[in-house]
Amino acid sequence: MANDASGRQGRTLLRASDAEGELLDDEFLRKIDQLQLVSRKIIAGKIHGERLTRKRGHSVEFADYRQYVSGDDLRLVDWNIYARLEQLFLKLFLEEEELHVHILVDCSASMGFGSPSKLFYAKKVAAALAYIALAEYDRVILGAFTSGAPREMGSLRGKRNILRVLDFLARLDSEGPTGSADAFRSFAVSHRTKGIVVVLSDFMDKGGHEEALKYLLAGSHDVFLIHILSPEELDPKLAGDLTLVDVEDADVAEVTISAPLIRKYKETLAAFVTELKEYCNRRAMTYILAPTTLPFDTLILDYLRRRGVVK
Amino acid sequence: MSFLSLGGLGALWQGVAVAAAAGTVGALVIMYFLKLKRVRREVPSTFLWKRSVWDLTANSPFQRLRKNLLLLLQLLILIAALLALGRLALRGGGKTGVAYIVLIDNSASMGATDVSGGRLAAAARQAKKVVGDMGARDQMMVLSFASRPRVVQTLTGDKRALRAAIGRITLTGERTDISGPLKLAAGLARTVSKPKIIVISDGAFPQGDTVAGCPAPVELVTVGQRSKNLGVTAMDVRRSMEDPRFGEIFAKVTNFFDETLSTKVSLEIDGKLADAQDVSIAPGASHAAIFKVRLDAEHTASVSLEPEDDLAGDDTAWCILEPPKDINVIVVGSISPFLRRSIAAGGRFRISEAPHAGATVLAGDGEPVYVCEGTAPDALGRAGYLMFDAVAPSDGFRDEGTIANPIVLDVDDTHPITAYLELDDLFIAKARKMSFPPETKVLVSCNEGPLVALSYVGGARVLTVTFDPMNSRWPLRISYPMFVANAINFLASGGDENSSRMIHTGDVLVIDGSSAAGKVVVTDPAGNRQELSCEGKRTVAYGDTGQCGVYTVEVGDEIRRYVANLTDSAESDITPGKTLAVGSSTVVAKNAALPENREIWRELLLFAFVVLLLEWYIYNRRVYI
Repeated sequence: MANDASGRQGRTLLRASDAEGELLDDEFLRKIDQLQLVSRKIIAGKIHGERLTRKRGHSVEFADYRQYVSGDDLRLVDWNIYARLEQLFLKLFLEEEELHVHILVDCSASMGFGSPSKLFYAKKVAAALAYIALAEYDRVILGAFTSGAPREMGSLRGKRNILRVLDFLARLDSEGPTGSADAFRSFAVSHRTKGIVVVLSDFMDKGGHEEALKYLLAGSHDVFLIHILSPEELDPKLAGDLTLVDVEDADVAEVTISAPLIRKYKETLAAFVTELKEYCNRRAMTYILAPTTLPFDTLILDYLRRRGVVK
Repeated sequence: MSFLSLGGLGALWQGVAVAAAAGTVGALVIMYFLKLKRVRREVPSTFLWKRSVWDLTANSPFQRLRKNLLLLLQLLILIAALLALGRLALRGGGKTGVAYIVLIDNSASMGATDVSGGRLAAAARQAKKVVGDMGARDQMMVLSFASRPRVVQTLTGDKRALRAAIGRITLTGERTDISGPLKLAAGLARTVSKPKIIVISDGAFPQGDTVAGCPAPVELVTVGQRSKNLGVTAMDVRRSMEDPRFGEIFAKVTNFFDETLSTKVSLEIDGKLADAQDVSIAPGASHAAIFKVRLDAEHTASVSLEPEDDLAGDDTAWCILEPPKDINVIVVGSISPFLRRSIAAGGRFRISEAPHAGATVLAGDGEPVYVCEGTAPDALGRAGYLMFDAVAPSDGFRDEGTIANPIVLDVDDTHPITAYLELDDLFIAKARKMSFPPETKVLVSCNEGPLVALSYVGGARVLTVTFDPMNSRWPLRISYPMFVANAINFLASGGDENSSRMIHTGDVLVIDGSSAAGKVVVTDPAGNRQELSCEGKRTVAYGDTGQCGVYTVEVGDEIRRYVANLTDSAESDITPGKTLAVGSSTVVAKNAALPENREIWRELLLFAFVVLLLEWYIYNRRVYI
């Protein structure tokens, strides 16, 4: 059933590709069809879904026993135990609920850097994660942020909506400055339901990222940060006397490239990444560095799986 | 390191160049920053770059300069070019303020080819090293020397002029006389501060008179490696006593090498081969080659060797073959039988008797020669006088007593009269102690005065022998008739020092110009003609006789030929000497090559060019440094 669905969707997806290339293809869809997003937190969905939670509920999955108290539903009493022990115990089952998966894609001008661009890479990751979530009947909320409130499409559920996801992603362009603090504050205000929040960004925010991430933590979401960097940023191939122009705010920096400067830049970038990673670790957020040179399927099938994002 | 001193306008230029250097470097720095055009590059964000630059700037001094690599390269180019313009030189041990007096030997032995380019070229290289070693305030004078010193370059600090002067020194065919140049250098050294005399030679010379009290340190630098040479060390022409139309050419060939050398000895007369001998001469030995020739007409003869040796300058010697010429010999008073027989043995002398000088005048070629023994002539006229044990009747000739048992100490073997005379151990019972007029040349001297002296008094040439040969054993020796013949021939020739038409290279050729119409023209062996004025003078001196060969002298309509030969065993012995006597001390030759300041402006310019290429490469390829 799943294979058939993916096959049909795959043929459709080939027509819904980004300007830089296809976001997903049949082969890759077959590989991720059986994956699902993992949340480490107890998440309360509003309606029943297909995802088991640690919350006790009415699924067929046994969870635990507890002693009967007055008022409990007698249908849940385990009569076999009562026969052996002459004490009333309730049989508890895990609750199956729907999972809210928020995918926030950074669409600032800096994400257009690189070849392929960081935005294209982010789109592909977002499309894959959205597909995984939709396939598990999770509720997917896709948003694109620069500064101010994120531009979102409505919540979607079910694999049939993947085309809408791809259409939304394909229309995203990199422009404007990054203002993640404003964007995440707006997001936190408008989405109070706990869920998974996946942020795809280069985090090149001159306003800093700590304040912005606090808004996500305030909502008790299970937060995953996927830090996308291009090889040109990791190992810049620059030389000579240059005026570096910031693509977001046209800020300039006059530099003369030298070996010590390149070395210092790499040290600064490493410190920036480490700082962000440690910040996330201290606050139970999951940080994943994803250079665009890392093959996309390796990131999804291997890298995210090992980091516990999907299983 | 130092900058080379250019002197005069050169020093002014150096000052201007150095002063301009600082301003130019500063201007380049300013222009670099003003004119720097940076390439614009878009980056995702500048905050990482700004943070990196900030960290570097905060933690490292001179970062502003260090990051401008191209500026640094341009500064290097400019500084290298300016240093090159300033003629920066690396110091090689030279001293400042020294006045070098460099004596460069250009005698015949310096033509030896046992070192690369010849000994003279090697000496020039050594001299140029000294020039390169000169400091900014040092000066140098260059003299060449062979038979006499010649100033090639007066005292100057201009290295270009010094090098040019050294390059102008050419080889001569002359013998070496070291004492004259040393005396001249010592005299010059007294006029300058911090003098230093450097003699660059092969050391193949007799030590000569020592220079006492030399005011400057003397350094000897020798060139040359070995003594492989075979040369003609003596040459003479002797007319046969029996038949004056014939004679013999005598050539002494000496081997100075430590191995036996063989050669062919050839005689050419007027350029045509007349005779030849193959000889093989042991180390250090000599061979007397004798060729019989006709002496009935004037010819030019040469004796040549064809050895495989290092010095070619002494392989040929020339002589002039002359026809016999009658000489009027007037015997004044009575003479001893030995003297009479010796005169008669001359062969071509027409002898007549006279009671006193001037009493008889005979017709004949040239001026007469009066021969007196114990009796002086009444007066001196325009003639030659050979006087034994007599005092000439003229001012300046004085008998001052008697010398008992005089011992012969010195014989002038360069004079035609006394050349090749063997007077060693000659017993003389007594001699007159005489004084002579100023124009007198002592040919033989004893421990207390002259024994044989040649004086010029007006037109008279007076050869005085201060003892009676009968009071000695001289008449019994072969040198006696030789002396008489030489004396009569010399005196009959008008006192011409070159009566044999054969001189040593470097000697002054005294030409009788009485028959010339105001000028004498001399053509040297190389064909160079030189006119000499002889207005109001009886004789003309020609000193430019440094080349071996035939000199043609045109005196009016008359053409005379003279030859100049090296024929000097001391010069032909090209064994490199290692010592030089100066005063009471002996200077030992330096074995090590002289240090030299090396100008590095070419290297600096090359370095600037390489840096320019590097800058171009970096600018275009954007490589990381």
